[in-house]
Amino acid sequence: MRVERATVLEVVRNQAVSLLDLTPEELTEDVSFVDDLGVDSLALIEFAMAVEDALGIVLPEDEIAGTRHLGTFVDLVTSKVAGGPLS
Amino acid sequence: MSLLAGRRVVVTGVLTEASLASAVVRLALAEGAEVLLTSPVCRAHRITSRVAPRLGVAEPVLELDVTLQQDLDALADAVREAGWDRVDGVVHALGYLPEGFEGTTFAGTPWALASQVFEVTAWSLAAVAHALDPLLVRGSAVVGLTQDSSQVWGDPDWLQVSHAALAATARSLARELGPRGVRVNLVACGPVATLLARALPGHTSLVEEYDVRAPLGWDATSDTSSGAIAKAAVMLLSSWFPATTGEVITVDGGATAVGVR
Repeated sequence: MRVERATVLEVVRNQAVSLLDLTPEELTEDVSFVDDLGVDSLALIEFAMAVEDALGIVLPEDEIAGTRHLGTFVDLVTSKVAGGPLS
Repeated sequence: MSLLAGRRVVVTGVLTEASLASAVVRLALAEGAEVLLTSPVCRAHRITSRVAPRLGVAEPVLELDVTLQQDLDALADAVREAGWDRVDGVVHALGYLPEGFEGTTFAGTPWALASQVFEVTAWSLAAVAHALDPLLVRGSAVVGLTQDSSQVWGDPDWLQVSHAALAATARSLARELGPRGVRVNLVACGPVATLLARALPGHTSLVEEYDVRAPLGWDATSDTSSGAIAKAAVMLLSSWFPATTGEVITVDGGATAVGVR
């Protein structure tokens, strides 16, 4: 089953709202968790792990560190789930 | 041969799967150990609890903030409640950079910040060993992860100073626990791209310097490097260093043993 980017975006936004105490309106594609929203590194890790668990994927830390904006993070996640089954 | 068959090891410092302590846990489990993890409450504890099953640790993560005396006081009982009547190994893999550390000069760092770094990085080795002291037995081993502190690497900071203090703490602890047959040793690690390390200013240049210097090479992003550190830690936890205590084993590809290549 292929997973559409829009589905990933929804999962990412839901986890961000749940774990990072953010509002959906703040979570635009070009927003930076760190620079714009002041999210610290521990919070980002918990958030990324929740996304991993939700989608049954593994996101290497160095690849997460390379994503500056929500949109590029969603691209990374989508690349990991593309072609793979949702758990 | 299983180096740690039947040995029960308490491991601090697992945060993410890339943590050095996580590499130690993976190898310790593969070598037959039983493992309990500790983590401070709040977000770090939630993260460690997510990581634990990924590492193969089924037991609940014990709550331990080494800056809270009540957590230290409760640790031995928490281990007993997990069903253990002894602890054969303790892994100390703690370091801390408090908020506000960035942007201060070395000499300008206030004691309020420097003392937090010292407390978590160095003092806590003795504090955790003391907390678990009722469960330590002849042959138990305390192993800490540190970094080279014989010289200043890059910009000076209080984490480096605290690692020098950690080595001195390990020696003093080795003297205190030695008569009971408990060993205390450190593994001085080359830089590895953990969460804490990446937060350090100058991490990238430090990594490059190690790789240039190290006769064996040193890749901070490689599982081979964290695996090499884990092997040293597991050997020190095992019965294969029965007459070694108060020592620092360096695992860095030889970088600190040589000058500029």
